[in-house]
Amino acid sequence: MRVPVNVSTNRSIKTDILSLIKQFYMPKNIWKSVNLLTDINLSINEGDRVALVGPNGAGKTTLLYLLGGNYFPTTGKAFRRGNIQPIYDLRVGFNEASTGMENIFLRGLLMGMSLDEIIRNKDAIVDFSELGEHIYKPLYTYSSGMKMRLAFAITTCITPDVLLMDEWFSVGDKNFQAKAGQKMLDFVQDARGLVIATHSEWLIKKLCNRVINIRDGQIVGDKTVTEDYTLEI
Amino acid sequence: MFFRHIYTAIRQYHYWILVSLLNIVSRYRQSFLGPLWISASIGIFIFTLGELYGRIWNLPSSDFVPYLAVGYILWHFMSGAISLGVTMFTSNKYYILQSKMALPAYSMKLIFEVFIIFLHNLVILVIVFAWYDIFPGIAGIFQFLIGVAIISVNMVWVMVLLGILGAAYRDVVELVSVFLRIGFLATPVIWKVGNEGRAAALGNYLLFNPFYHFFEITRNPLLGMPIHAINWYFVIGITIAGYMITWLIYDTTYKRIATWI
Repeated sequence: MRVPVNVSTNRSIKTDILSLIKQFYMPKNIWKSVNLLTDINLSINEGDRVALVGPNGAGKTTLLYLLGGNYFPTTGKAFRRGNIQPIYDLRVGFNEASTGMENIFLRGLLMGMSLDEIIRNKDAIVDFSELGEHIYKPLYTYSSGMKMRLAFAITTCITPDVLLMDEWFSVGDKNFQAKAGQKMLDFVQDARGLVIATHSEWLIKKLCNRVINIRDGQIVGDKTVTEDYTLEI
Repeated sequence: MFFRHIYTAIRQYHYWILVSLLNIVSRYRQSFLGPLWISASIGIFIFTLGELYGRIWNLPSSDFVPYLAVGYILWHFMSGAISLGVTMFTSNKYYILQSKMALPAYSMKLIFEVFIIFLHNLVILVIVFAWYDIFPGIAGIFQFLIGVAIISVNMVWVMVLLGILGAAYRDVVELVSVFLRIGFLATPVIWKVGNEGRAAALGNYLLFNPFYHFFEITRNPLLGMPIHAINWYFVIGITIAGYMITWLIYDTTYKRIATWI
């Protein structure tokens, strides 16, 4: 996948100003097309739980966006089937000035839930997040832990089809982690497919059955996870 | 794909209607005047400028103030939508990368938000009309609403087009705000079109101002003034041409917009 990237390679102020002027008159120097991903031939099927591993900047997030249908390949084709749910940031869609209950609707609709689903699930969400009366207060009064709990409760109330995750997310204080940890694992196991970019060997062993290694925009490894799998980058 | 995406965006109405409503309501909650905060500033502008410019143009206030009121509220609606359109993709990066909203849905959300504010401002309009004892008649009101609907439909393509340009080039925001400022002065909002003297200053060049035509078809019915056929031709032409051009540009660029923001 090729995208244009603004490059600037000078260090000193003097050459910076000169190069700025040069760039203005010779625009070819400003934009360089960079290959973010090359030669990706990949099939992810039902039941696959894929871990994307690789050094930072290798293209894991780009590949996730491609899988999610937000980026489009510049050459070749991508085919998707199923309801693909990206979960990169639990709190996307939250409006600080609205109440917790309103944010349940906002976040839920953003995830593609229908109004009926949200109405059916809202009590369960409030119970799980243990927010009680706070749910009717505006979000900016919540602590970040409370927001996380709410976000988590909303996110996990859907039945996932295919999940895309960019790093596992930590969900608040120890008490909640105990409760949420198992729920999170259940939530992910319920999915028909999972692709998660991660650095954690523990997580891979626990959740995934396939590991795809990415380096510099190319796939350098694609193996199944076995008992003695060790993470190599 | 542009029209297909528009269709998908329309079907996602639950989301964008709710978000716009909640945004406005949360702004009420944090304000001093509550729901009035939106209309109060418009009202002050209309009454003071109405009196002032009425004297400058030597027109009676009963003539000029309602004219200014309709024009200004419409301008507020249009310019609000247009200026929000330029940044609508760049400021919604995380939504675009994580949700399944079709791109035109972002413009519909913003148009709806601006429309709700417009509805608040209509209260001021009703007050002005009551003050000067003007009643436009059912037909007039109906035609006014049709005009507003036509403006809203056009805002979709304008905002998508500007959003794409704004995502590709970051200086488009500035350019658009300058054009809006010029547009406000070049369109008959605080001045009336007439046949001689200063009012006719622009002459036929006024026809090249797209805002002028939309204003004429929307404002005139409310003030009992006739709409000229030529305004309809321009409005229909602009709508069709706008959608065609945006269709072309959208279809060639929509796959890359996410990478620009």
